[in-house]
Amino acid sequence: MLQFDSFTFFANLFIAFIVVVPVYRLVPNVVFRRLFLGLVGVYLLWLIAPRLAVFYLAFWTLTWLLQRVVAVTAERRFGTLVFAVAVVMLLAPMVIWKLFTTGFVIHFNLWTDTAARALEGRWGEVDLSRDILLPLGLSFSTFRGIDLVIKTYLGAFVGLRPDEVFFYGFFPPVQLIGPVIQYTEIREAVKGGTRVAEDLREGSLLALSGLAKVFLVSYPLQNSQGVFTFYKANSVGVLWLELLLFAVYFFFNFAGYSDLAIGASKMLGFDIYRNFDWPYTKTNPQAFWNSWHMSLTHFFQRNVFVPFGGMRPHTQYRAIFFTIMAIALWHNISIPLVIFGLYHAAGLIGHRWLAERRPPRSAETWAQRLPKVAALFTFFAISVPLLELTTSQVVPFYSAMVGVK
Amino acid sequence: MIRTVKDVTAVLDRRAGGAGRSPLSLLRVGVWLVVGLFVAGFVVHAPRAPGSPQYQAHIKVPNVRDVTLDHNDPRGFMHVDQDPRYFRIAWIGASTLQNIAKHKHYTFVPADFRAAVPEIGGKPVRVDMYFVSGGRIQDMYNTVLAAIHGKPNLIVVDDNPLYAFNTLALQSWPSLNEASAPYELARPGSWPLLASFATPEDIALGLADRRLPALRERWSLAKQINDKLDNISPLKQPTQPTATTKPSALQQIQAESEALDFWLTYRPIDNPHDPVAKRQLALLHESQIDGGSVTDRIVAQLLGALAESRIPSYFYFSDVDPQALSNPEVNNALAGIENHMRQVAERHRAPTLTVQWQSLARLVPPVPFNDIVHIADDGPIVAYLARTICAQLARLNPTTTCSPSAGGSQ
Repeated sequence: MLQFDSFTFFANLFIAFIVVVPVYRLVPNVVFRRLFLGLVGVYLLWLIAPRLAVFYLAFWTLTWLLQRVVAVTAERRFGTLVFAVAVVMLLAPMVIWKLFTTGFVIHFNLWTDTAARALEGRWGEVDLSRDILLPLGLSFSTFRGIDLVIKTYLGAFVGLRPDEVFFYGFFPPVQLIGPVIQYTEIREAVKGGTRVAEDLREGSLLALSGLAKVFLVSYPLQNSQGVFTFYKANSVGVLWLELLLFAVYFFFNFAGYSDLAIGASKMLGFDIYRNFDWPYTKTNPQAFWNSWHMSLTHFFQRNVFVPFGGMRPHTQYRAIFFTIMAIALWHNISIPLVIFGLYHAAGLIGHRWLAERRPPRSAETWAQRLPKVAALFTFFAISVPLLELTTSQVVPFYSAMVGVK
Repeated sequence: MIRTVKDVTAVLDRRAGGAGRSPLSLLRVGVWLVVGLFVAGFVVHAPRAPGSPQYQAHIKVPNVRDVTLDHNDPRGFMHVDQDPRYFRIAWIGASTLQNIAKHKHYTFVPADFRAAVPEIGGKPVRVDMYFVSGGRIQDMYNTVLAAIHGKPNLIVVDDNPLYAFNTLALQSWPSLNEASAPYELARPGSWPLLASFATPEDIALGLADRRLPALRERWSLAKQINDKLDNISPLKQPTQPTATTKPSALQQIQAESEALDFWLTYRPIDNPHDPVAKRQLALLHESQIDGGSVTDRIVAQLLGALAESRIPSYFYFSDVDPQALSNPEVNNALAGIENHMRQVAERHRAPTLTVQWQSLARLVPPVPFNDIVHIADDGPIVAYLARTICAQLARLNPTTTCSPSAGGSQ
């Protein structure tokens, strides 16, 4: 229970594409296309468990309502208050989940199953046989919902229609994992699309590159996850080796699934921004974070870094600190993640401070880059256990890494 | 340097004649992929699918084997050959097939039946036991479809009345969806069930498996690769990680094997501290026998498939603890389920199909139980089944010789 194989989601998506892509391409009506792709998204969630589909139907209905209210009140005196309330309401489920995980998971399953039964009796019966779930995809949906509300408040959108929010909320390729897309990335492409063969070709190649990352690189390294369980039984050398392998696994797994999502989008004619740009080849923390889970980093840059004064010299360090802490804490609100945030904040701020005093060389040879790449990779790999360990495991694990058991 | 997919397509354009540039060339790529998988099936060989050694070890009777594969193996069951030298019985059931007596005497009803009826029609009996431990009604249906495909001489289905119409748990072996998807596709009445339980992946792979051994064997191949990777890895993984503290509620949920455990814990239908028998009574009360649930469709399809197969088939409701049955509440609840089964069965009559809609509790002398449905002595049950099954076979073909041996399991 509480485990879901993301590959199953993509396998169902790509097999459904045998029907979905031709139908989508053959019917040029935009409203039909939005509703059709939205329904495909609902169906894919329903396959995991009807309760998950019901939860997201409620979540995106709420998002639609909130962004309409924000659109209407944005220019009024109390508009900011309404906007703040809307953001808090959308954030609430995710924050409660991160703070009170056990209670949230239990009640999430109980309540959404009850709702599924109330909505359609047989959905409820089928739902009881499906696995007990974590709220899969909730973080990504929260960020997408908030992004919509923020942009509405800033005037980028007037209030969107239900079919537009339904389409954005249930856009199939990014339901569970992948880039945190913005509505602008899919808004226009749904209207056109004549490069069918070219889109299919590029999409297939991206999907294949994702499969290669997942199965050829990440899958053989998945045993390295055991380093977080069996650290007491292994030597320092083995622990370091497995930790570095896990860092490789971690990237290729996530980047592979992102490629699958972007490739699937491309097959339908949507150009979704890349989510990773080979972060392990970068030579400094800033370049690393600008190429790691880029859609999320950009979300926090837009909504935390810039508002906190990241573009002004006297407030830039504060903005960096808040941005990296937000990036850390979305994983989980816990002590290890606070340490993770502080660690990378130190790296980023230290790099910025140094860069201001000693501008980087314009062009570096591989021989010059390689030690930096290795150092940065190791710097990041050391922090990765903080994403996996519980608070009580942190000290014993890192002690074992330096030979103290 | 290749950084993005556009760089890859440029390389393909330059060096591979623009692979995938037109719909036709995309089709060509797809065809080559299928050909590659087909060829891989000849080159790569998976080890023989492992059975369930923990259950097979308890079967001491010759010509009886548990054909069920691992709970996660999408092939579902071992390949069953159609050897004409034997009278082949496919015996399907969940935990109610077990006979766990005191002093660790652990057997299975089909094995004891085989001991009691070693020959039918002049041929030695061979029993392929489809033991779907913890199986629910949709699992029973999927198993019946797989068993029919093996073309046995007789199909016996043991169904637990606690779960026949119980909507709390319709399925606990989703891995069987893939193996049975092609058979369900061939039965239009099954399509709503297929839509409810199977995924597009199950259906596509279920269809492709038949032609592409590399896909069919992928579970064994993956296991083989995993074992090799385990051997390569320098990480020592002690089998018993040091127990630390009591598992949290979340860890307990994570460790549960089926969703039913969660629902019974957090949405209890009774007092969790009650004895097992009382809890199972509460389960009995959860049956939906008004004809409006998914279970009705599943049971109807199951009986319909048996009837249409024209294979002699015997469906029975397993035994229930007589002590529990002396409680009028249990008796009434069971009678309601039996009556509903009778109504469903009446719509699926066939000369080859016998539906024993009454629980064996009404038909055999009392036997000891471990709880309300798990038996501790299957002697009288085996004797009854041997008698009635032989009678059915004789009715279908009067020349069939089938009689329980004197030295059976009695």
